[in-house]
Amino acid sequence: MKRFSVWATVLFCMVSSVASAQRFKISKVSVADLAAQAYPLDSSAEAVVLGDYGSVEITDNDIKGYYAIHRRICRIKILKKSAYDRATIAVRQYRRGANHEEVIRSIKGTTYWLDKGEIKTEDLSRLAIFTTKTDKNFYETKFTLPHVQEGCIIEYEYDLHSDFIFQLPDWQFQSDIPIKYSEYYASFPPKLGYRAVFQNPVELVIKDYNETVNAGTIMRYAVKDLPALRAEPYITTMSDYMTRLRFELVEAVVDGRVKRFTQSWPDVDKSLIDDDQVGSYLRKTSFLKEAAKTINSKYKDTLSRVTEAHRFIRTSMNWNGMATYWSNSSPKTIFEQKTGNSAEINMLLVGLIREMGLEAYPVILSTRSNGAVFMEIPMVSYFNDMVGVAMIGNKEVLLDATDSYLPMGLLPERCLTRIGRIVDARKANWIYLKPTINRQVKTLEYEMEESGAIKGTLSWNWTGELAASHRKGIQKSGIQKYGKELIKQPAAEAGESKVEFADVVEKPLILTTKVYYEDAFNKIGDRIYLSPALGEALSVNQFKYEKRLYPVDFGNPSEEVFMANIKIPKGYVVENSPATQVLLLPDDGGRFTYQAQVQGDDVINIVTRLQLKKPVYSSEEYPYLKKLMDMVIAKNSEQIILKKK
Amino acid sequence: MRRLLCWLILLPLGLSAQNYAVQTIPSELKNEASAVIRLQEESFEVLTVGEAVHRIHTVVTILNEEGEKYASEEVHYSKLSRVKNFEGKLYDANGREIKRLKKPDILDISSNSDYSLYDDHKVKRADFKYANYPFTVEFDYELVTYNTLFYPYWIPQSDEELAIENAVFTVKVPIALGLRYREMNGVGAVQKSEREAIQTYQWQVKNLKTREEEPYTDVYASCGPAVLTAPNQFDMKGNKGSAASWKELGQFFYDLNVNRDELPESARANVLKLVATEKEPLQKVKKLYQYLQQSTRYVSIQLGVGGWQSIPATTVVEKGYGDCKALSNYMKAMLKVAGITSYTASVSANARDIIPEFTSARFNHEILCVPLLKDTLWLECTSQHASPGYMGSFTGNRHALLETPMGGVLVKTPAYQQAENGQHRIIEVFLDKEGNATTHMLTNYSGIQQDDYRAATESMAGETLKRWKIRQMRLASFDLNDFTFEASRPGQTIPSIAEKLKLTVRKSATMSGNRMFLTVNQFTPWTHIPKSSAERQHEVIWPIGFTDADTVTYHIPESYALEALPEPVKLETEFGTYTAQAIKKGETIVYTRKLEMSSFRKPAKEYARFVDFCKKIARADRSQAVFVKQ
Repeated sequence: MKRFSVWATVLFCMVSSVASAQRFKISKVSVADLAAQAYPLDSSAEAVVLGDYGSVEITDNDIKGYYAIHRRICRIKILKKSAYDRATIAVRQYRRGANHEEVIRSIKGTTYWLDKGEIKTEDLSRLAIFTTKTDKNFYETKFTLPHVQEGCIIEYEYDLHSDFIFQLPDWQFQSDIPIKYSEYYASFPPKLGYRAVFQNPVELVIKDYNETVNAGTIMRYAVKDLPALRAEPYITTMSDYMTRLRFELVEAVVDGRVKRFTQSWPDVDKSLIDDDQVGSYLRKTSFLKEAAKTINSKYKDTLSRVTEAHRFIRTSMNWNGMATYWSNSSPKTIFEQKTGNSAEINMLLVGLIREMGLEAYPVILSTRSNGAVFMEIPMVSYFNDMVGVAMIGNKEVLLDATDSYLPMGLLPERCLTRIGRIVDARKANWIYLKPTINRQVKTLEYEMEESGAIKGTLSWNWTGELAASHRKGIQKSGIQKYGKELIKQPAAEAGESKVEFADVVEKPLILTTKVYYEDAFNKIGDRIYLSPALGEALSVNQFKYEKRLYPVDFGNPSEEVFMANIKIPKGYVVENSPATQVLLLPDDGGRFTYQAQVQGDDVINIVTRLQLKKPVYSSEEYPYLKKLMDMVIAKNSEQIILKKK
Repeated sequence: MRRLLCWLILLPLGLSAQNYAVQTIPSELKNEASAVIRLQEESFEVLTVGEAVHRIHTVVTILNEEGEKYASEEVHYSKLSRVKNFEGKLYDANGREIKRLKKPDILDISSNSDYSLYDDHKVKRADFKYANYPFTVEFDYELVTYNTLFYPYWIPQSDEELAIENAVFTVKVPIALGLRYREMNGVGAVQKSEREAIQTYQWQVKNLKTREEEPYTDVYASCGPAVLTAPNQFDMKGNKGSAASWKELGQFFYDLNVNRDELPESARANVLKLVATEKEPLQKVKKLYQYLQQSTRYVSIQLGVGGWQSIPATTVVEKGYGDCKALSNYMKAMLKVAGITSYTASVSANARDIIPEFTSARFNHEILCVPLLKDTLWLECTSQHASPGYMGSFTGNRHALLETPMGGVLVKTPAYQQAENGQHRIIEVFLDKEGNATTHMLTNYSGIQQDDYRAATESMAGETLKRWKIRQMRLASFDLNDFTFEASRPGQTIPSIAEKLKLTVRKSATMSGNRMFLTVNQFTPWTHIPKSSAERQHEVIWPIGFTDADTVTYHIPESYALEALPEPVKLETEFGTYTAQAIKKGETIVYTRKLEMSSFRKPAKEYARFVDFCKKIARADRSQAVFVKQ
């Protein structure tokens, strides 16, 4: 048996090396490539991938069944010293015992450089290859190429033998450095059917697809000149903006029978409803009958019943930090252990509501960091998290009990992707995960003394997720410390802070801090010049770059209100105060209003309101958003002028 | 019999219930704490010169999410040590045991860091994923080590939000070997006892409330009660040495790497060819250092003798890479061929300095020291762009242990002074009638103030560098239209970088009614005001001196007339000197500002005055000139 497997490997290696020589047409490293000192399409590039070639071939044998061989050949031009670390390559491998492992083989590498116009090379030494265990089921093979210097070209290749054919890794046509050419080849046997999906497609320079009954499917795609991907603030995950090829297994012949996987959304729905770890879990919640009865006897209308069920699960269960859409143990065990993953906790809640005789369903979704779901292309592998939805009257109310600071109806930040799918035999469908508005109302009330000193109070009122995140902050640092840290102006001295509704998550959170400024305004001659917000209004534009390639994805719409109530010193009158202003984004996508009013002789009221009504702004809207912020900041910088009577 | 069995089973549970229930923690310890160490027993038993056993037993109550990290334990080991008896238990708030670690719960993996190609360090890690606060965890492990160069540093209150009920540290050592130790920050006096040629030392701390970390002070002074221990004689798997003095420790490192600095014939010839045209030793060093920077790169790879032995110079020649020891040793080998003597030197880079009065091998980096007739040249051999002789904040201003054939010599590396760490700016601001400006800014950064710029310009270019610079700037709203960086020629003792920026600044001056307000210092404002503290405990340390000098010329639009200028400010204190003034010159306002601070150490009682100095600078930097529309 053992001998046979060795043979299989050797035989295989021979086949593979012959095949790979033909599989890609790769030109030789040229003097011109080596002499180049910069990449013309991107002067900022520290390195450029000259060619990235990948392939997957799936075959089977009697011992292992189906298995995949992934091959990678990568040629990189090193332009700057800062790119030297790219000559050390790390390949992760998942290994969970025989027939459940990935193993790297046939690692080769060469460094090319010019020496007086002549090409010199040196190969990767076997002694520079190391494999270590990095996590429970993960190993990492690292190797480093010799003689790396500015201008050199490194090339490495390896095979990754994998037992995992259900979920194939994506082929990424883009990286954090520019890619001049990238090609991917896939060969699947007739017994396996995969769907290949392009995300963020670009023009293909090779586009071959061949399907035959005997040979199976062979495809080859190539792109050229793709720019480097650069991270920006307010994005979901870089992979949402990357050009890549992903695969999903749709059908397989197993033991002579065709097994279909997800081909349509109803297929996805059905597989989840039948799944032991998803749909079946919900049929095991009868132990919650007692709890359901108690809630029903205490509360009479649907809304308060569901609210109570949510409160009950939210406060009695602790989230272990894992976001998934399946459970790992029975609902009863989870409930007794009081900790669980997001699916376990939220399905408990759905189960409880159902035991109460009401309507609720689990909802699967893909978190922000996990990336977008494309409705046109049904795949179960998009998803990685689960929340719930309850029907109250005709209204859908979103449920999540993983965050003990979030009231019913609000989803945690990671779930702000707006799209989910209900898991249910009858109700399966898309559901809009409506983001709730994040609102902050900041109020500054103070009295000015002629000396320049100011005494007052600063208070914040938060709703939505903002309230939850500030509740966490207060829990973490304590009210006094937290109140101090919130004050923007470093010269301010903070007094006592008080908090209201710290534990009542359904209510807005209110924090009030006493503030004192020793020297808050300028007095020149008989005039006083005052910046009324004392540094507390928006004063720096967070959109610093001129252009933006990706949408600005805040997750939530937001509203920020700033109010100041100012009592001016005795003996002074208001000579000038800022004019009222209204600024609008196109199509009323957002607005800013500024109002200043003098009340009586000695009180000035200022109210400003900044509304960003959309959770996402497109890259075309970016310049308007940036401009709006510029104008907001300019308005906020205007001063009030007081004059001695 | 049956009865007895029951007792045996019940006993430990009964005891733990008594010990670890959360309610037994004194309430003053829980105040502001995220976790409370109920009991920590750490012991280090030296069996022979080359073998020791480190035992840790910890019971920690985790009060909230912040203390979650204490629910896990890590044991680091390598080829020179092995882990015995790693155990753990989880208790609920009442002290009832609810879980015990089983073998599959313990992760046994490489602790190879991301940046490292390979090292033989491994870690056993276990954590209790539990979220019902409060709860208690107990860990127990034993580490047998065959590398006795390191004895433990006992710092029980490692975090400010950690309180301690009871912690005990015991060291047992054969009298013949002896123990060197240093007690710090009010740890109680040692209890000593002696039995059968074994000396036992014991320290204990009890009922320590959380502490508050203070800014601008020494890490060692503010880490809470601590005991540092270190060996006299030690053995690293057959490599014997003494750490009783810096001389002996340095000798050990020298001997460990002796004869590893030989070059193959072709490399020797290459060195001789490179320096053939140079007469001055300094020029030879610079030439070879430049060659080193061109032909090698840093790759962290920790192999021989616990990572303390260098890869031979011949291997670096072959591969073109090495770690700090390998590259320093290679440079040393090249200098030797050129007839120049040099010494490798161990330092604690980028972190707290070692304690010169207490010999101990707590180094993390190696550099090369080249004593020349006039001066000593220090070389950072892992950097492809450092200036020869310049150490920056990474290895400057600290102690280094020279490894010479005559033993170790502890020396101080150069400290860069306020005049050397400069930021000199000349700015022209052309204001329009709306207060928007076209701004030209010329800045010369030198010494430690250029370190970040050097690293940035060496590693970035084009759009990436531009965005980095934009993020560095604190102006409210602007566009960076053009920028250049020009680094000083390599070989300058104090390197510098000249930066030229062309900016469009929106609302450089702000408008209200018919007045225009101009914040005269908008480019280098001091905004950091340390939190005032009524009971400052530790001395105030300002580690690095610097000089910032700005000259800004504001061109005022014709339609505006000057109404008021800020008063000149001059502050002269023992912390530093600040001068600022704005004067009218024709149609312009010329603002000059200079802030000089030297590095200093002042007693705790001076803290309030230091805060006041910062406040006064911040206030002066906020001052405005006022103009009225004509």
